[in-house]
Amino acid sequence: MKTKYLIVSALWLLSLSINAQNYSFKPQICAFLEYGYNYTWAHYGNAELQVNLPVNPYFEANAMTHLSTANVYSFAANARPQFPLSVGKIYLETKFTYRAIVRNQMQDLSAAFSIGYQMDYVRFQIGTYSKMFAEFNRNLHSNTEIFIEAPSLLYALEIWVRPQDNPWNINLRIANYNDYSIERMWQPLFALGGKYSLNNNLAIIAEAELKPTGMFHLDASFYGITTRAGIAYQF
Amino acid sequence: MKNKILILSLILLTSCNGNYDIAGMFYGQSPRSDERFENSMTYNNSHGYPTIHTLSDTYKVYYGTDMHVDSTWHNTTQWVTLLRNDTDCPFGIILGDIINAKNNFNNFDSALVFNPQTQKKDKPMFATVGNHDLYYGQWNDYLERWHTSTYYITVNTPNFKDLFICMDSGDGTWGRKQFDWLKDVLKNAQSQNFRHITIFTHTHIFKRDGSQGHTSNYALEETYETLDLLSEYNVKWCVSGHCHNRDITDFKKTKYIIVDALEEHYPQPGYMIATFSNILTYEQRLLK
Repeated sequence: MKTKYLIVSALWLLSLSINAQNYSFKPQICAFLEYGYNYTWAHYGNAELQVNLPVNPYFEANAMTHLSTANVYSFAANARPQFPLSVGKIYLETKFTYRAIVRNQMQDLSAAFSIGYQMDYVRFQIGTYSKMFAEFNRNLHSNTEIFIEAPSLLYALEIWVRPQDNPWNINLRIANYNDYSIERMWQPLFALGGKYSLNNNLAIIAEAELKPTGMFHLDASFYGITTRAGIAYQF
Repeated sequence: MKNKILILSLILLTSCNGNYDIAGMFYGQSPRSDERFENSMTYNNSHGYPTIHTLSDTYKVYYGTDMHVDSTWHNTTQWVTLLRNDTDCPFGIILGDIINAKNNFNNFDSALVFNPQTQKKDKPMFATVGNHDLYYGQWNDYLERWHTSTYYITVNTPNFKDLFICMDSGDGTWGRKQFDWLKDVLKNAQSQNFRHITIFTHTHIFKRDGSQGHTSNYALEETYETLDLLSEYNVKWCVSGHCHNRDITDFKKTKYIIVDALEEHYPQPGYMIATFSNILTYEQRLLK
């Protein structure tokens, strides 16, 4: 039995090293402009800049900033060790998001840890996150708490209609997070997007994200929508 | 195969359970928040907003929530009897989820029937709508009995006046129109020298733990906006139910209180008695 495990492990390591040889280091920059509407902020616009750094075949890092005319500013960072398999890859993601909700003189910080499996047409991700929020001017005399929510579920399910290396693709995603925020587990975000590669370096991206409310009240209704268009440039 | 059959059976059983409006998970069958707000305003504009007069500057208000009445209503009757027998209490507030599912409003009506044998004085009751009250398109049943789910109550004491604002959060949002209305009410209240301004609604703002697992609250944007607004206008309390378990959070200038559920067969049904005097105090009590 022990020998069997050793052989399987050796084959897996071999597959990793073959994948590594085919790997090329290609940082990517994405920029988006967004229009959104929700019950609270009404109409607003956002701009987002994202940098993806694939350090080696087994590790990617990602950082982004997201600025909103609703006077909300977000920063996020991801670290993603990943393990290519013969079919798809497994990854572990650590994600931090910080939001300065200047309009409300508040800030929130979320930290998430999750595991995912991605193939050509589908991606699953599940994990846990915790969120804390506080007012800006909190001090020792404040009659207020730094509110820390209990750890909760982070999840994503995404499907594509074409393989990942296809010049164009359409994706459908349900998740309780996006690039710049982590919502509560009972507040899923539904996204429909598309990508078209103009050449080996440049792709255009568009996406619409719907945010309902009350789904887990079993009385769901519309809350907000965000649409975005942008480019991804791979060096 | 066995597992697939088990999962399928579970889904079918849940779908057939009249307590859970599964279709509502994707689109609620009652009117949405803005339309419900319009319905409430139509009533308010023709009937005005209630005013209560008390004989003392100190009085008590009983808060009860999440009765989830279906075939029995003993807990609700007991709570209503307590408040009707309390001479310091001029009225009671129901924080939603009055009924559990379809066709139970008639049963709830029975719980409110005045019984002179056991109860001293009939008193006004005010309510807000909860998500269970909206299941299967029951908003009209709610309206038929309670007429409005967005309104305010002014309590005039000999020397002061207090403002109670009721917000409809049955579908997990206060909605755009209702939120704007609240801003106007709070702005106007600043010049009227209220002693205490409090809000009551069904859905809680904070959720500290997972004791109710799946119960949801507001989108983050709305949460932050609400916290800011209530603090800006010195709203002292925001009282809610929905979560079934008591909880208190102080955030900025406002105290957020979740009241225990009064649900029948609940292991520890509870309610809250708030004392309004120059200061605000509360006591969460178990029913049994």
